[in-house]
Amino acid sequence: MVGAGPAGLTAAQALAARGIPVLLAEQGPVVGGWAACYACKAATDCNLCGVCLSARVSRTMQPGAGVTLKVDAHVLGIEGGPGSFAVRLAHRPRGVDVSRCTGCGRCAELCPVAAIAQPHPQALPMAYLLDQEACLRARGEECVICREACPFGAVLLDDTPSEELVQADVVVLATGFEPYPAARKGQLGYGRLPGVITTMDLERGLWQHGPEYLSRLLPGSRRVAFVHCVGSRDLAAGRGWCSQVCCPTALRLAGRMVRELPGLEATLFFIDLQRCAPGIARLFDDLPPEIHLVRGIPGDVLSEPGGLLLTFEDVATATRRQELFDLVVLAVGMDSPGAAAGMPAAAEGFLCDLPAGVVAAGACGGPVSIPEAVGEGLRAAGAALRVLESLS
Amino acid sequence: MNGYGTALAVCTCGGTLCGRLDVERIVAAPGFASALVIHDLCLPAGSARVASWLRETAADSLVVAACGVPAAVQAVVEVSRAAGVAEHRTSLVDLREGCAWVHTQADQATAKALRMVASAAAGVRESTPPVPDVEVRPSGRVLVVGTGPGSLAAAARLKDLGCEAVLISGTLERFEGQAGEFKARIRTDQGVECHAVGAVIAAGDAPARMPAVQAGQRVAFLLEGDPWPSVTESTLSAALHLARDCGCRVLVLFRDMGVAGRGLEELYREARGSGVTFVRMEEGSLRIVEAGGEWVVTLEVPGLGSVTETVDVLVSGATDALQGTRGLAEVLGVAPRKGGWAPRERALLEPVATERNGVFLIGSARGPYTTDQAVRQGEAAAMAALSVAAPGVIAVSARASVDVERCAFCLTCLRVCPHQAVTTALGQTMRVLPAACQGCGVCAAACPAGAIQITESPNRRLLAEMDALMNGPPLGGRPTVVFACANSAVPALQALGRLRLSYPAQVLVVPVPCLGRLEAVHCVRPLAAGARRVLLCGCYDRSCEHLVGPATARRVVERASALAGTLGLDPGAIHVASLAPVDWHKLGQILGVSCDDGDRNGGEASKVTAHATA
Ligand SMILES: Cc1cc2nc3c(=O)[nH]c(=O)nc-3n(C[C@H](O)[C@H](O)[C@H](O)COP(=O)(O)OP(=O)(O)OC[C@H]3O[C@@H](n4cnc5c(N)ncnc54)[C@H](O)[C@@H]3O)c2cc1C
Ligand code: SF4
Ligand code: SF4
Ligand code: SF4
Ligand code: SF4
Repeated sequence: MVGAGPAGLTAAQALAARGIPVLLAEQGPVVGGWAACYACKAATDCNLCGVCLSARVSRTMQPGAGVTLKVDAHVLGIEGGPGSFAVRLAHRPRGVDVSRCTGCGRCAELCPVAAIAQPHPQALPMAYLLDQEACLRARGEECVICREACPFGAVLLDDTPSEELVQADVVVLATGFEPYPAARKGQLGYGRLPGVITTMDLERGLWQHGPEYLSRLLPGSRRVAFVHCVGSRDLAAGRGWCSQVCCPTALRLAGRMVRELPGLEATLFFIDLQRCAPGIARLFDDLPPEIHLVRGIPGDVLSEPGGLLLTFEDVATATRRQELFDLVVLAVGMDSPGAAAGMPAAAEGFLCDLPAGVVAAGACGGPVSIPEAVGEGLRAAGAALRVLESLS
Repeated sequence: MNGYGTALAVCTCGGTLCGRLDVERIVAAPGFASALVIHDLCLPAGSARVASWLRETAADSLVVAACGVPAAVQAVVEVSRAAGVAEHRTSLVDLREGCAWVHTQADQATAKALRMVASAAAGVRESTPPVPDVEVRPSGRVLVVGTGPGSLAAAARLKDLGCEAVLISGTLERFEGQAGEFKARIRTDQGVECHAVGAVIAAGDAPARMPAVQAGQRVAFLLEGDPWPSVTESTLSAALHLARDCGCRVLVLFRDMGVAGRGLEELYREARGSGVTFVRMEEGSLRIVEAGGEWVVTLEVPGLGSVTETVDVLVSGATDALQGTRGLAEVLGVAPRKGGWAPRERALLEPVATERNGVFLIGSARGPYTTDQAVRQGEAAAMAALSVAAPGVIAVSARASVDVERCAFCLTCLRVCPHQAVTTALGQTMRVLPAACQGCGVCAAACPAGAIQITESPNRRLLAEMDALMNGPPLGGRPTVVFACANSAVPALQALGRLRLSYPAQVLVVPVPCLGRLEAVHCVRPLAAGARRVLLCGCYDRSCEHLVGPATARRVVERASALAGTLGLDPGAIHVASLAPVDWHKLGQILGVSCDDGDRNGGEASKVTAHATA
């Protein structure tokens, strides 16, 4: 099983529940995929963003439940066929022994340069991470403070990359997606203009800092614009698909923000508003008056003395309009991360036409929401079982 | 049975808890037969040491004060198993995230720790042995309702996985029983059929047929409603076919094009490129007049003025996709949701489950899904159904049980159970179906006779734990009691701990499976014992897996507040709050802690999901 996002975790647990031993390799330090760092988007009531679901899928990933979890393990390549796959894993040095670290935090208390820390407060595994670049040893100093401090002998200061070959009968790829690199749309100012962020930044900012994230970002910001379809439905950008999750995500994020931050007004700029995801129809029916909908997508964002100036064609009135905002949120689409583990991919980069015995699950096969990724995990588990049955 | 008493093991987490708590005082807590300090419960060496010590003490119950990490939970299970202590007579206290890490004053933290340990001990003393396992023997048959692509995909996958798909042609009339052993009655043209099945996958029927159009005619499709992907799929494939293959002149009038489904944007592009004319309607600008078998469609297009088209056939796209399944949902015992689709919208029940274990809804029975989505859901549901319906023997232990001596036969439990887990029949007693029950406790709280007990936390245990928590060494102020829902508040509390955000030691936490577990007495009792506030922290209405938790809690709080008033206690001291498991900020707000402490909050977040290149 490659990748421990909602899809991979679900597939691993479903197979383990049928008595199949599973090795789950995740390149990152913790499980959960992108969704592990998303914010709750409830306003007065839950808006069914699905983050609770992915949080539960991660939480139920208990040790000893038939799944061997390897974090910091990047899958480089897969060779062989059904019943005899050889999977090449590259271990990234974490600097901490996952099987020994209890998360006690003593190392982090004592490290003079904060180079060792927990991944995040709901991380699984909760084992700490050593940032080898920030560590004093990277500057040639002989610091061993954390290693000495650790009551469990878990700090591995000289951790080095290594490779490993594992055998498998069937391979499930759940390698997920990449958010569209918004900086590529230079005219929208991402990475250039302060006050232009992406929905991914907003998800993670709200998750990490709570509602205060906005005032941290831009004190006193009141007018927020969401620009839809950034890097989706855009043949010129080489992305001819609808990413499906960005409309509902923008709506839900706007819903939460206008509720929590009095005085905030949000304007959504879109061409077609996708509002059929679970919970969205209801949110749309009782749209708070602080959320404004404009059909039309701004071509550029300019920094003006009064804020960020958006120029757009308002489809409803067929007029060219301009409006000032304090914050512009780009609703970035879901991109494929490119050929995962050396597997064939379609022109858009999403996996397709996989060799026999290799099954794809989740966003690596095309845009999906969290609930859909969980469904994909179940589905892939079924497909993998079928392959296993044909082997025996 | 209590001959050997309760043993206490305290883990210091490598000594790191020692400065924050007076561990000496905690191991000397009164009421324990023996006590041990260890430093590494979650590592193999530590748990082995606890196991051998426990065997020597010959205690019949065990309290471990450590942390809440999965490895510790696992260690307690293994230790008790190795030493022959029954699992229900063990209790794990989260001393680390729940106390040491979140309170700054060691004396107050220690006082709270002593209360937590005493509470756990009181709990194991009042614990009841688990209800004996019941064997469910699914036959491997799964009922598949519907003739659409989702049903067919589910049936095919079920067959691959060694199950038998029972496809019906008729109306499902009655459905009863529990996961693994449902009984379904179906009315067909020939009469009535009965099937014993382990699960049911219900989907809608095949998508709408092509409208009756002759070659060369002029056709307009009118898409007025919500931009349903299913409507886009059926309309655009029909439009494309008519324009490309039948020489029709095709007009599609729409507001939002629903392209949130795999391949829909591509289909939309193809239709535009193949001669289908798309015109976007704006509010109130469309006029349709019928004249001599033709339709004159007039549209005000901003910037272009008015456009008029005369067509032979006018197809309304929305109507053929509305296949509400209210009736089906009712027969299956799951609540219909807005628009007639089932099941009720619940974050934790997506993408194929319902509140009733073993009942799966997919495709157009669930929402306006495309063929591709229905097929994917069908295959997912087949795998999910396997866990309850695969042939074999499944041992399940009831998470709730009815004391038939006390039962007044009022049928309250039957009515309130959100998971269709209570049943009875003529001349029989009330019974909890173990494979259906999710242990939420809603029935126990609602039963006027107090006849239902939740196995894991029977009422006597819960009250004993609460009482021990309320009475103990001084905490430096009047306590606030927080009832914490296992799905939301408990994980959020743990996050506060991991962030070392401090809140007052007067905050005492009582975990519950669902807020629906609580009665008015649970809320008033702490007030009577001196609590300043009582908070019920759980999910939102639509994130509650047990459907009714928050709503029930609001009613209970109303009743409890009135009761508090009549008892001369503060009627404004009891509150309900909703939060998500990932929203520790909101919990912090509720407890009066500022969570925004700069970058310590997941300061490493940027690295966590960064797909760094190898
Ligand atoms: C801005 C934004 C906001 C969103 N918000 C929502 C929302 O509110 N609700 C919702 O339902 N959906 C939302 N989504 C969609 C959601 O993120 C996806 O549905 C979900 O993350 C897909 O899960 P996955 O398991 O398929 O992939 P991922 O979450 O991407 O997980 C894949 C995992 O595989 C690992 N991996 C990749 N390659 C390898 C390799 N070679 N070896 C080992 N491991 C590997 C990765 O590290 C990662 O952990 C949003 C998407 C975006 C872009
Ligand atoms: S909005 Fe999302 S995270 Fe918040 S409660 Fe609902 S599903 Fe959970
Ligand atoms: S001191 Fe050791 S056990 Fe504690 S957090 Fe650091 S590495 Fe983990
Ligand atoms: S979901 Fe909305 S924002 Fe995202 S690509 Fe589709 S239409 Fe654009
Ligand atoms: S505990 Fe919950 S699921 Fe079980 S019978 Fe009672 S109300 Fe139903």
